Amino acid sequence: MGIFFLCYGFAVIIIYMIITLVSGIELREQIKRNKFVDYKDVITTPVGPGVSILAPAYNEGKTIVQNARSLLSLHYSKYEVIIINDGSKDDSMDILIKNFDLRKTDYAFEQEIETAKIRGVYKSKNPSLGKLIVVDKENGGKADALNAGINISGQELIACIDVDCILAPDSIVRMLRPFLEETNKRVIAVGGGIGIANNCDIKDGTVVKYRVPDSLLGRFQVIEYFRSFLLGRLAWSRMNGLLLISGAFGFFDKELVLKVGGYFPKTVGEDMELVVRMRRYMEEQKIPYKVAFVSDPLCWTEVPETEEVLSKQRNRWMRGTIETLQLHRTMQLNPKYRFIGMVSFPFWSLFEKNAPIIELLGVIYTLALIIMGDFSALYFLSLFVLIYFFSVMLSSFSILFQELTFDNYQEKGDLRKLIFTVLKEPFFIHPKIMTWCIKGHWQFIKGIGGWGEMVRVGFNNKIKANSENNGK
Amino acid sequence: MIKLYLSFLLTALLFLKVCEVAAFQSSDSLTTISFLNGTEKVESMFYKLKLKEAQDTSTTNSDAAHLSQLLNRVYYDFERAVSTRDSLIHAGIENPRIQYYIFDDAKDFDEVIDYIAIIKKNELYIPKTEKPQTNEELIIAANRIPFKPFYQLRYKIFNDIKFIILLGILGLFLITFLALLFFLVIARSKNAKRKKLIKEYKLQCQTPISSLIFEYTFQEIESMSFEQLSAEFGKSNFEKALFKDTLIKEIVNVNKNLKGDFKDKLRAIYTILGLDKFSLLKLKSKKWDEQSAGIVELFEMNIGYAVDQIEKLVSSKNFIVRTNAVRAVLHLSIDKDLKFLAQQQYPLSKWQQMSIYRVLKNIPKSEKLDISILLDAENHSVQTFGIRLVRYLGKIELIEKLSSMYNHVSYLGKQEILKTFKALTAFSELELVHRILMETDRNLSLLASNLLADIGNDESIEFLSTKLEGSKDFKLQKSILTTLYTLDEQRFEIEVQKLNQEHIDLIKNHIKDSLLSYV
Amino acid sequence: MVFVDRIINKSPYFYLLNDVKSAMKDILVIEDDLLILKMVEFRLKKEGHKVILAEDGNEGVKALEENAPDLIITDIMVPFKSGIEIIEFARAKYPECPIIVLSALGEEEGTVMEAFNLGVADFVPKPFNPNELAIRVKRLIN
Repeated sequence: MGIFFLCYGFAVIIIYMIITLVSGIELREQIKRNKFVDYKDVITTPVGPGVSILAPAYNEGKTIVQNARSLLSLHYSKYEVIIINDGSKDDSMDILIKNFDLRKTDYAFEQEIETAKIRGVYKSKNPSLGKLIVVDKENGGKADALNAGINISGQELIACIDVDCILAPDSIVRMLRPFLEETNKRVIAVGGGIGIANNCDIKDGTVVKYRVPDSLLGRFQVIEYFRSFLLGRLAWSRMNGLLLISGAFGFFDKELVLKVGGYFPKTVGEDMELVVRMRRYMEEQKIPYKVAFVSDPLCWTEVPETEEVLSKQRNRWMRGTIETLQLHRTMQLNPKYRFIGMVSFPFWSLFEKNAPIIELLGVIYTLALIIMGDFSALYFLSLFVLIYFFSVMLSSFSILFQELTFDNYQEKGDLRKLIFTVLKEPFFIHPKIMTWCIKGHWQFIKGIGGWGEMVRVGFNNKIKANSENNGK
Repeated sequence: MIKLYLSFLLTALLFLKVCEVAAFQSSDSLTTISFLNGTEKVESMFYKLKLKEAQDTSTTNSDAAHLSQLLNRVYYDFERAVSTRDSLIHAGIENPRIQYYIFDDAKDFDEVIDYIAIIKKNELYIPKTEKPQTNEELIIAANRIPFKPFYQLRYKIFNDIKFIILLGILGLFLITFLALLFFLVIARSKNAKRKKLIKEYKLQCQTPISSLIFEYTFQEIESMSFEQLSAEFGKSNFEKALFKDTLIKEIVNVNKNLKGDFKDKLRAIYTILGLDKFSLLKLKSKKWDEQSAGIVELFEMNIGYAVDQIEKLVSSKNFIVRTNAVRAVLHLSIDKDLKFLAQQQYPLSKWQQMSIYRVLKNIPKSEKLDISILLDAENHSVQTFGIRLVRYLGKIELIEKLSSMYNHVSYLGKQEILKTFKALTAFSELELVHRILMETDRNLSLLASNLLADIGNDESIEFLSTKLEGSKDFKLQKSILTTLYTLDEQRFEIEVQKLNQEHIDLIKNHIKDSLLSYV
Repeated sequence: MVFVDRIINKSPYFYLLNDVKSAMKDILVIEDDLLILKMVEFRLKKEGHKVILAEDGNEGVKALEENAPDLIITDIMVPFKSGIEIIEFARAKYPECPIIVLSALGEEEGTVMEAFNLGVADFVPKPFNPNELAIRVKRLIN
C-alpha cells in the first residue's frame, strides 16, 4: 500500500516534469512565431474561412447588450454572431429586441441536430448589424443552445463561447492560425487560452488593465489557469493528445461537429465530451487530424470568488470528466486509438479523475497507520514536504512562463501576491478543491442509474449511424 | 532540470560508495583484536607462540621440553593462544609473542588486519557460540554474543541513504524554487525595462519619421548623408541594437500603411541609415526567428538586391522562414516567375497562400503575371491555389482554361472552379454548370445552383425545376428555390405550389423575408 | 523646433498658409494605429486644420459628443466599438458632417458596403497616400 502511494507520487512528479518541459518548448515556439505574423493580413484575406460565433445566454439581461456589442466589433471580415437566448427567465430577449432593433424573421433552417423548440430567429432592421442573429428558444441547457446555434450557423467554422466572456479584438484571427497553417492534417478544433478578469479594469467589453484578484480564492484560480493553460494544454496539444477545449472559448470545424451529432446535452461536461467524441470519430475513420491550442490569453472571464459557487463549478467539472471518460471508456488503453487511447485517456483517468480519490485513500491510510502505531513521522513529514515543494515548483514554473511570454500582470505587488498564493495553496485551497471533487464523484455514483444507461444507448447509436453514413 | 536531477543522483550514488569503503577500512588493530577474541576459528589461519631470539634456555630440562612443546603447539582459538602467552609471562619467560599464520605462512599483524577484513566480508569464520564463563548471568552472556559489525553498519548506511536522498531531493526542490524565484524577478525587471525602452525609442522615432517624409522631397532625402539623417534621431542611438530594431519596425509599419512616393522616401531613410545592412546581417543568423525578421524587413522595404541572399532560404527547413522567403523572393525578383511555386513539392498551406496572394495583389496590372502555370501544376494544393488566384485577381481570360480542366482537378479544385465562375460571372460556361447541377454530387450541385442565380437563363430554370423535384436535401432545395426566385418569380411560386410541403413553404417565407435576403 | 521654421520658410505650401488658415476646419481622426494617427495629423495640420485625435472607439464617441467636427476620418476596425457603430452615431448626431473611412478592408468587404449604406462620403483603402487623403478632405470640405 505504502509503495503504491510512493509510486503514484513519483509518477505524478515525473509526468508533470515532462509536461513542463514539453510546454516550455511549445510556448517558446508559439511566441517566436507570433512575431512574424501581421494578424492584420488575416483580417482581410479571402483565403480565410468564415466563422460563426455562438454565444448561448441564460438570464444575462444585465450584460448581454454590452457583450453582444463587443462581439460585433471583433476584427475579422467574415464572421457572424449568433446569440442564443436559452429560455431566459429574465427580460434578456426584450432588451435585445429593443437595443438592436430586432425583428422576428422567417428563417428556415434544417434541424440537423435535435434541440429544444426554437421560438424564433431574429435579425436587426438596422443594416449595419447584419452580422447579428438572435435565436430565441426554450430552455434546454448550454449544449442544447449551442446545438441550436450550429443548426442555424452558415459558416465553415463555429466558435463556441460563453456570452459573459470578454474577447480580445484580434481573438478570431489568432485562433484561425492553426486552421490556416496545417496542410497534412485536418484541424478539427482549436482551443484558446483563458485569463481571469476579476479585479481587472474593463472598459466597454475590453480588458484595459490587468490586476490580480483580491481574494485568495481568486488568486488561486489565476495560478490554476496558468498551470492549466500554459503547462498542461500546451504540452498535450504539442503531443496531439489534448482532450479538453474549454467551453468558454473554442473553435470547431462545423462539418465535423455535425457529423458526430453536435454537443451532447445530457452531460454536464459537454465541452470535453465533444472533443473526445470528435477525436474518437477521427481515430475510427483513420483520418489524420489535429486538435490545436493557442496559448495567447484571448478570452477573459470572471471566475467565482465565493466558495459556494466555486464548489458547484468544481463539482460539475468533476462530474463532466467522469461522465466523458465513462461514455468513451472503450478508448481506455485501447491501442486502436493510439496516443489518445494509450496515453491521454489513462492520464485523465489516473491523474484528473481519480486524483481526489487517491488522495483521500492516502489520508485514510495515514490515519490507519497512526492508529496501528506503525507510523513513521519522519518519513511521512519528509514525503509531505517533498510533494509540497513539487507543487510549489510547478506553480512557480507556470508563473515564470506567463512572465516570460504575455506578462499581463504588471503592477508592482502582483508577483509577490502570486508567489504567496503559490505557497499557501496546498494548505488552504487544495483540500477544499479535493473535497468538492469527491462530492462530484459521489453525485455521479448516486446519479448513474438515471441518465447513465439511457445515454449510452442513444448516444452510441448516433455514432454508429454517422459512421455508416460516412461509409456510404 | 533533468540534468540537475541526474547529477544529483550520481552524487548520491558516489556518496553511498564512499560510505561502504569507509565501513571496511574502519577495521583497525583494536577491532581486529576484539574480533579475533570473539572467534573460535578463522579460515586458514592459526597462531603459534614464539620467543625472542636471545633466549636463556638454560633452565631445567623438563622445563625446556615443556616449553618447546608449547611453542610447537598450533592454536586456532586466539583467546587460548593469548592466555597461554600470559601464563608464560607469569612463569618468568621473557617476551613471548604470538605469531600469526595465514595459509601456513608467518604474517605480520598489519597483514592480519587486511586478511581479517576480507574474512569479515566473506564470513569465513566460526564465531564463539559458547563462552567458557557459562556460569555468568544470561544478560551478560547475551552481551558477549559477538554481533556482526558489518551488518550493523550496512543497515545504518542504508537507512541513512534513503534519508539523505529524500533530504537531497527536498534541498534540490528548494534550490530550484529559489532559482526560479530569482529568474522570475530578473525576467520581470528585464521585461519591464525593455518595454519601457522600446516605448521611449518609439516616441523618439515617430516625430522625425513624420517630419522627414512630409517636409522633404524624395531628392532631398536621397542626398542626405548618414550624419545628417542620424542626427534627427539622435546619433548615439545608432550604437544600440534595440533602437535600430525599433526604428526598423516603425519604418516598416509606416511603409506598410502608406502609398506613393512616401514609400520611396522611407526606403531612402532606411538605406541611408544603413539599416538594410542590419537586416541583411540577420539573414546569416542561426536562429530562425532572426532570419525571418530579416526577410520580412527586406521584403517590406523592397530591397531588391537582397533577393539572392533570401533565395537561399527558400528551401529552409523552417516553415516560417520558408513562407517568408518565398513571398519575399516573389516580391523582389524582377520577372515574377511563378515556376518555382508550380514545382513545389510540399503542400501549400492556406497561410502561405495568404501571404503569396498579398504579394501578387500588389503587382501592377501592367506587369505580366502568368498564373496558368499554377493551373498546370502537379501539386493539388498549388493547383487549387491557382484556381483561387484566377478568382481573386479577376483573370477572366482564364475561365475557358478552368472549364477545360474541370474534369481533371481534385474535388476541392472543382468547388473552387465553381466559386470562381460565380465571382467572375462566367456566362460562357452555362452548359458545364447545367451538367454539374444535374449530377449526383450534392455539394457541387449546391454550388452550381448558387452560381446559376447569376448566370442562369430560361434553360437553367427547366434544369433547376427538374433537379428540385428529384431532390430531398433541405439545403439543396433552399438553394434551388432561391435561384429560381431570382431568375423567375412566377415560376418560383408555381414550383412551391407544386411541391406543396410544409418545409418548402418555410423556405419560401425565408426567401421572401427582406431581412434575410442578403444573408 | 527646426521643422516649424522649415514650414514657414521652405514649405511649398507656405504661400497657401494664410488662405487655408481662414478655412480652418475641425477634423476628427479615429484610428488605433498610433503611427498612422500621427501621420494623418501631421499632414492635415499642414493644411491648417485643427485635428482632434481618438485612439479607440470610446474616445471617438466621446470626442463626437464634445466637439462638432466638420469632417470625420475613421477606421472601421478600432478597439471597443465597431467603426460601423461610430459611423451610425456620427450620422445621427451630425447628419451633414462628411465621413471618410480609412481602412485596411477592401472595398468589396461586407463591412465597407455597410458603411457606404450608412452614407459615408468617401473610402480610402490602406495603404494610403496622405497627400491623396488631404486632397479628398479638401474636396469634401469645400
